[in-house]
Amino acid sequence: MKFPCGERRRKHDDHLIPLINVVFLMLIFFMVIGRIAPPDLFQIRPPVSQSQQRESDKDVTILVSRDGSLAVDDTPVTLETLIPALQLSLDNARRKQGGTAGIRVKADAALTAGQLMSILKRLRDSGNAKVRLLTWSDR
Amino acid sequence: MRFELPSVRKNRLVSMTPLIDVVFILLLFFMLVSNFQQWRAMPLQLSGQNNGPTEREQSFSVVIRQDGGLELNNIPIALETLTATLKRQIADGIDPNVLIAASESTGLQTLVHVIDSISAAGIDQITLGGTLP
Repeated sequence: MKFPCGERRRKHDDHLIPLINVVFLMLIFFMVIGRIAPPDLFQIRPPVSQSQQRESDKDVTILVSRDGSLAVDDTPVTLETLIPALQLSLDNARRKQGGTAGIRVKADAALTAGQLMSILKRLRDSGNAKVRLLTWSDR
Repeated sequence: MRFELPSVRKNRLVSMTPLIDVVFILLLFFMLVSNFQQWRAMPLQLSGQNNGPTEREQSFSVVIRQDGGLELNNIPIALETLTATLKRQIADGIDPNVLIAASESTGLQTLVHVIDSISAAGIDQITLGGTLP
């Protein structure tokens, strides 16, 4: 009496195992391939470029939003307090990593060249003429 | 005998339904949270002071006008032909470095496209000059 019932239940489970295999594979795929990034202080949409150069996590990040708001390493700053805050972050980063930290600028694609240049000029005047602009790969 | 058979099955198989539930939730979490966008860095060098070449040493100057048009050494040029033109002129034996002067209202994306085109010609000394009104 119980035999046919048990057989059917086991068959039911056997059909489920390939599904579980696939789901496990997808889970592992997303865990390995995807990176979990904390959200930025402002939501920005960076420009797209064909540049092949990889970005470095060690750099100090200046975030520039669409309306020109600024943040250094997720601390909001103004145009006037940008340089002291940046210098502090650079010193901290360089002490931790032994002098390799540069500056990377994460700016919204809708920003104008005038707005960007007013920020970059302040950086240049403080002795940081080289920055790295962060972009999305166009592929 | 009648009760033995299900208990044997229970020992053999862990109950699948809660496991699948948890795995599905994990899968959903990783699918939603993962970020596949690849970040790339683009080096920018600012002109002026003692950093980088001054304007007179530049072999090329690229101007982005207010209407979005481009000028290479004061001659209007299309973005599509910029790379090829630069490549041709480098082959003539000029030491390649480029000064970009952009109009104030140029979008950052346009600027990045222009820098891309110049890099594609094999020039890595690209300097950002001041902005034009």
